[in-house]
Amino acid sequence: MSLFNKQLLKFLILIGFTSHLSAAPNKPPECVGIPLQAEFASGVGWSMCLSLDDEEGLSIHQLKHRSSGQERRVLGKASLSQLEIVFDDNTQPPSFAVTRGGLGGDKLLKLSPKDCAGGQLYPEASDRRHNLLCARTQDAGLLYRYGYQAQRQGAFFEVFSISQATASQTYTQRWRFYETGVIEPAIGFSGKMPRFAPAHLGFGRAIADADEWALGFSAYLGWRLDFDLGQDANNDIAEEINSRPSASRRHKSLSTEVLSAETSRSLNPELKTSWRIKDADERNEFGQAISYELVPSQYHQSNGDVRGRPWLKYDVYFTRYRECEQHASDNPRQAGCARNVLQASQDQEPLERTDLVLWYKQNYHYLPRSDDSDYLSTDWMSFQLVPRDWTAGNPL
Amino acid sequence: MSQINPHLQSQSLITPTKQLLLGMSSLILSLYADTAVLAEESCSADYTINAALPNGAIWNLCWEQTLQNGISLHHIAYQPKAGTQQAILYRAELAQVHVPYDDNGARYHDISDYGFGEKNLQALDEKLCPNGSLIKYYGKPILCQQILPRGEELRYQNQAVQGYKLSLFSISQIGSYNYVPRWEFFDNGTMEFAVGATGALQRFTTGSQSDLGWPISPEKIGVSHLHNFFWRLDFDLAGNGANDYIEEINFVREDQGLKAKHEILSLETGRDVNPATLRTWIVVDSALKNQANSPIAYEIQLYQSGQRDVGPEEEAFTKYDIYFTKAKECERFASRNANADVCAKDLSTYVNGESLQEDLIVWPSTSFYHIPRAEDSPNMNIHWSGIRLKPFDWHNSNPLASSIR
Repeated sequence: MSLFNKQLLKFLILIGFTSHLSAAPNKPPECVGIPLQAEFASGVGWSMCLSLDDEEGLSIHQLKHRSSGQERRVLGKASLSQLEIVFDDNTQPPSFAVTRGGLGGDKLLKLSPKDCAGGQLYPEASDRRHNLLCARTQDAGLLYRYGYQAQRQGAFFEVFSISQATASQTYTQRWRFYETGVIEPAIGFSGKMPRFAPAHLGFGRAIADADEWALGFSAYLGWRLDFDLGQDANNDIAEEINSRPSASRRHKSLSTEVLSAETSRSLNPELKTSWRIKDADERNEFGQAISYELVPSQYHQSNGDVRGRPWLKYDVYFTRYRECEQHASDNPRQAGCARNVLQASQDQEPLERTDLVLWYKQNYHYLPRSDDSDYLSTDWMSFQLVPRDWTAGNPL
Repeated sequence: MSQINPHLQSQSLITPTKQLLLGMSSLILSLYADTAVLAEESCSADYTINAALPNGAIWNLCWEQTLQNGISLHHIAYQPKAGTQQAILYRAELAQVHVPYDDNGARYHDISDYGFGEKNLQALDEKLCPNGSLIKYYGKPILCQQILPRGEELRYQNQAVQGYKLSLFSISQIGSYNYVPRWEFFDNGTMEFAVGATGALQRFTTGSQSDLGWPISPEKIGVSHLHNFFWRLDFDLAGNGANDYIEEINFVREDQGLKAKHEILSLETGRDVNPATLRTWIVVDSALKNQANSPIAYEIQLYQSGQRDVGPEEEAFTKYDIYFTKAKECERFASRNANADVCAKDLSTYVNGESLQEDLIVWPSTSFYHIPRAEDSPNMNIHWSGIRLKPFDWHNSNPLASSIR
């Protein structure tokens, strides 16, 4: 295909995409991209639409979970919204792998059946020449066991695409949807050792017998999770959960706080902080509000911000849905729209019973070693969204 | 020593081997030759696991069953694809599962008080161990051995290698809980040790005490609790523990960038993760170096450290995320140590200023705070808590790069 045609195609895709996005927030849309369904032997299932966007790469739309005979929406749209890479020598500005480099388009690697054993390959919805997405169901091992009375094996449905973001850096975007209702987004870091610097500067590590040292890097990930629980996307509530020890530290007391206005928060491991999004109206059969909880991970590297980037100050941000706020950082300049998620959360708009977006920041630091010369062993960064009171009892 | 399985034939092996190797640390070739038969020498065939992974890596280790630890592993050695077998761990075991409840109604020490072995060790069946093999102890299948795909080991443009791992697990029933200690060994040298918690909720309360837990049905509140998991890892890199040392790595801002600061931990100590300095630890061999002239090492990654529990003063062993102590045979458990009359009682007292210059023990831990939810009844889906041990200049280059298709 000529370059002109390729550009034209990109433009057309963009039109298709834009026309959806400019619709009223979360008007029940037709499927964006590839419609996929997964059903496990237990009858539990997932349905979703997947798009491969020029900037974000793999995006999940209209994710629904079906269990106990009832299907309910969890997410309106979710994706990695930014990936900034800063090398340890800090001589170059951050790369904005999503907003400037892009993880989609011609960055997406063509997949072959070998890359997707036991699964099915899909082309992009609008350009069907190349397979860019793998979807498959895999065994998850033991699901539960209770003595000799009950035991069961579990499974998950996974989708992934792979982006060759730069000459050396390869990122896999993988989402797992477990039979248990758990959602696990992940990024795999692989490729070749991306950069070296003269040893005398003291940045990085010697990984081969050479005068140049391999540079470590920080990857700052901004996940954008537009929750739309149940039928109504505009009635979600965010809650922070903390557990406080008594003076003797023998007792603990659980507290939940409704986050009534846009806010930024950080994990306190001593308080076992977590956050959940619950629906204001829909309940399980016990009368409990249905919800999904964010279980943070990678705490041990979560605060290594070498450049003082504003959006890295907190672990999570809660904002009211705005069409023009799509990226955790380097969001396009536009009147009335924030440039980054810290800014987006600062005007403290009311959050209760709205269409809300949960932004989760992660930091992965890569420490070079000979074992990764010259091909990096894939490192996975993931976190989980776990159903809380989604069903009255374990549906499995 | 009473808990050591009599089938472990050569428990005394370590002493002569270690003494022999002490004087030979510069003779690298001898070390290689010595460790090549390590597992075979250390246990009988019934207690040996020798697993060749599809990409060519081989893991070799012994297992044993004890009343308290359940399944312990020892003489763990790894042979990279097209490489030489090298010992890593003299011994690895789960050293405590401490379960304090938020209402202070129970504070269990499951390993030392109940034990993961003997009658608590569950008989496994084929359904639990698909495509695997069941290993028996006196006729009872107690250990599932599987070789499993683990996704892409490496990927660059259209070059890729699919990775595999050896996975071993057993199941121990303690009260309403079923614990699943799992030991995984990757074809790139990485080890992941984890414990799955499943079964049923153990303790409940009623509506008036709602801050002690979470309603799991209209009548019942499940009491919130912690699972504090501790492992005891006796590293003997290249078969010799006497020349291993611990380095803590912190990243500090310097020359406008981030520089690694390495500090040798020479005395027994407890340490915490530090997200601001991207702190990590490596256990290093002082004799063997790779082709980049870096000493061979393993990194200890506490990747699940987002929930911390520092308990009351009588549970001082919960204070730190990881402990490093001098190796002592009678310091077996993270808390409620056996023979407390002759040995120290827990991690907080194992750390008493002794030098780590001789053989050392690493005690990594991770905590899982379980706030019950409606989904936890009647059967609770499994939750995994783990740690990771990753090669650090162990190889000269990625050992699986030659498998690129």
